[in-house]
Amino acid sequence: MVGYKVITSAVRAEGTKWRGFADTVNKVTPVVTNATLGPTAFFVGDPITLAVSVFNASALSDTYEALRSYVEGALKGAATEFDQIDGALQKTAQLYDQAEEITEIDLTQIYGTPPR
Amino acid sequence: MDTPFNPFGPAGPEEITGPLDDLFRKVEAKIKEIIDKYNAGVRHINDWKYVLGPAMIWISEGLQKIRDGLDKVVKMVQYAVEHHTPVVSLIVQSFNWQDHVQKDMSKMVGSVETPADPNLAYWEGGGADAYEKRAEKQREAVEAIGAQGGKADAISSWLMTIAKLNVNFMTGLVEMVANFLGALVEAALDGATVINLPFAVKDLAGAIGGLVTDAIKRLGAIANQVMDTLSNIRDAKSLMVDSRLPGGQWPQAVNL
Repeated sequence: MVGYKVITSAVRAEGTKWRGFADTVNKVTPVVTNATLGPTAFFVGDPITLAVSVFNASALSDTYEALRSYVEGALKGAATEFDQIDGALQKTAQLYDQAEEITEIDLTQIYGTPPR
Repeated sequence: MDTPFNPFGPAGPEEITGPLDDLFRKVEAKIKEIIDKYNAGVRHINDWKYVLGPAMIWISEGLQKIRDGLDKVVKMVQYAVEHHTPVVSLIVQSFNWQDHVQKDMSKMVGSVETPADPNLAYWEGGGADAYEKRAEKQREAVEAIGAQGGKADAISSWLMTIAKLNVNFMTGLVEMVANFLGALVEAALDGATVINLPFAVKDLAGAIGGLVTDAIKRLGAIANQVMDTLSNIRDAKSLMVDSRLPGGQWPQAVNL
């Protein structure tokens, strides 16, 4: 069995990993934010001359925008969460160091209490 | 528009935008030729209109039919040219979803589960369990966006399907314009003798009417296919209901 010092350094390294994830998401999110497309972007065919009454450019762009903003909304929380996980793991390692053992720590101090 | 064979699918937007640009160049060059050829024919007829006399009534009727076809083709080309740049941006975004959203997120999936330091495996107890549970929820959320068949992938494929239908459309438009030009060249109104002119106009009017109607039917079917992609992605309205992203939000691991 390795000592708690080895474990606490592994926990710290694990936290740093999540900081890296936050960096990745911070690069990905602007791509999604900037991926907007207007109704003209979906088809080069002139629906009037083609006499296709079912063609609806804004139905295409509205559906796309709904999907794009859904993903953007979901991703926006990701970086914060990843940073907080890093924070939680660093705090965990610190508490272990203070307690000089790795079993008994108050998890509400680290993760808080989920809302009901 | 020879593009190298690539068994792994298009590597970058230029593999779609390149051929599309070529089609636009062709269509714009040919429509200019058509207009020149048509105007030359009309000038030639006008030069002889007094000699043609009563036959001019017949000729005018035919010319009007040709002109109607020409108007339709010109309108379609103008509309397409105006939408060229926006459709290129659709192609670029399709690749962005794949290369800068799906790929980057999917890379994370594996590393969430692999400890940064293998000694993390010695971590046991309540603290370790609490972390693992949270890490799993986060991995699932990352997968929801970035896995094969995840949201980024689905959006990218949808845009790519539309991009390819636009390329098909432009291929059809080039064909239509080429056929139109071919008919004009064959009729050679600008070189026809006074005797032959009425017949040449009549034949041309018939040919143009037929080819424009056929082409519009074929191209209109592509417009319908573009709309059909909508019903596929709408089935994927389920894309926007996902327990891995509760209420469309990233799952919370820490509530401090």
